[in-house]
Amino acid sequence: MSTGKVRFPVFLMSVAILLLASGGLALAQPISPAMEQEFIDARNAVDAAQKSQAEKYAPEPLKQAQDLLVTAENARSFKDSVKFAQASRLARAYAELARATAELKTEEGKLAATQEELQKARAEIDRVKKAP
Amino acid sequence: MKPRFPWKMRILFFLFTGCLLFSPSMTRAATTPTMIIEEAKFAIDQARKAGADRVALDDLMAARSWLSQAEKEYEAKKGFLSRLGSSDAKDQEILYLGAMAKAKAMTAEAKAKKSATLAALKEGRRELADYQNAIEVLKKKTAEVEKARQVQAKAEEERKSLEEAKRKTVELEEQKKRELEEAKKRGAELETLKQREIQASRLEETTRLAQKERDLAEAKIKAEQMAAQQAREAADLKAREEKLAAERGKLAALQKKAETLEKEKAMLTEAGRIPQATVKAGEKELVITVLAINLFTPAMEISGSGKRILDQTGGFLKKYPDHKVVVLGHTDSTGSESTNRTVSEKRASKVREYLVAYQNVNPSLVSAQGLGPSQPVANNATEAGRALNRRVEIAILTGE
Repeated sequence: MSTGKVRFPVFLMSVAILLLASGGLALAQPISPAMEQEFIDARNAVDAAQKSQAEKYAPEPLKQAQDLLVTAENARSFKDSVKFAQASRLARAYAELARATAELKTEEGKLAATQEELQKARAEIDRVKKAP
Repeated sequence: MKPRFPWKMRILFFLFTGCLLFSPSMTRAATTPTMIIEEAKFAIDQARKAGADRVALDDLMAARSWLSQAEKEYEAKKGFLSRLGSSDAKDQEILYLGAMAKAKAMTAEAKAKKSATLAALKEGRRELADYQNAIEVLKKKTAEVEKARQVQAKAEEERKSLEEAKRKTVELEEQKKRELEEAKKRGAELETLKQREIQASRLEETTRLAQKERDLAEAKIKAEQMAAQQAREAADLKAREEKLAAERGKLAALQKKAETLEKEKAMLTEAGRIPQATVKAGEKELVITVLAINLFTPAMEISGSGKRILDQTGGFLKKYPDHKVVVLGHTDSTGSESTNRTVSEKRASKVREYLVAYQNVNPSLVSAQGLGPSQPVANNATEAGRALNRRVEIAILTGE
């Protein structure tokens, strides 16, 4: 590999990093109480999802929501209000998705059980009908 | 030999990796804005198909709004890129918006599905309840059918038994008929025999009646004879009874007399113990005779020997207190009749008074009477005779 070929991607990456850093610094603004409230709402939504057995029925979105809460907390420590707000909102959205999915799965489980009972009932009816 | 990656390269690599790790997680979920937008669109489409526009309209609208923003940013990014060449911040923004749209759409889809599931569950439960009811009904019907079957079987059994009973009844009736005919035959024979027997018995009865009449006549005669004999015997018995009663009366009288005699005998024996007195038993009286010379002094008072005699006599009389006593005074024939009567009365009275006064003899039972010389017991011509006539008799009445 020649030195020129190596230098170009390094250059690109450096530019990207600088852009990210400069963009972040340019957009930095203080974290407002409304943003904090959004974070609290997100955390509450995660708690509600856990209560709805999301760990069992919707582990992926729940994990995403939890990770996003961590991201938001990290953003808060870096005073990155934009990331904090985005991560909070997204965490809440994923938590609500996890909750809705968990509730759906729960109801589907109930439906499956009911259908199983229905099958049994049908079988019982057939048995009774066929009985001499 | 040169290393594959120089140290500068390595530092840059670590810096980039660190930035990636620090950046929001949604940037790792979808690689490009186009992909996330497509995924969000697909999710919205799925949500709509699942019926989210009816039951999760808010979430669906939110998803559409986020998608719209993402698309807008995407369009803006194109212009921006055309001017500046590149913008990671824009990508991140688009990825965020797209992820929000996707999450909301998926949530809407889940909610729509949940609603459908709930409806299906409700329907399923209703159906299950229907089935369970149907099962209950079927079971009941089955039980009823079973019962009906049992009843039918029983009825069949009973029908068979009834038929059997009918058959037996027919047989029995036939047998009865045969027996009846047989019985009729026998009855006719028996009737003949009976007629014969009746005739024979009538003859026998006639004979027996005649015999009975004869026996009855004989019995009547015997009865009359017996009645006559009984009458005779009754009369005889009555006469015997009368005789027996008379004899019993006689016997009672005799017994009474014997008792009286016994009593008189006892009295006589008792009276015989009185000194210087003679005792004589009459039919209705016992007479104790004491000479006047033994009773009185010349002055016509009770002498000492007289007192001893009367004391004994009083003791005797007290033993028989129910008998009446009559004291009778007697004289000899010397002197006038009236004088003698007075003397005799005086003698009787003196004796009575002594017995009442000194021997406590009941005065109502003792009476005194002077008879004078009217009842002499000896010849007044001699002194001895006259001495015997001067006497006092104490008569104790025993026959009353």
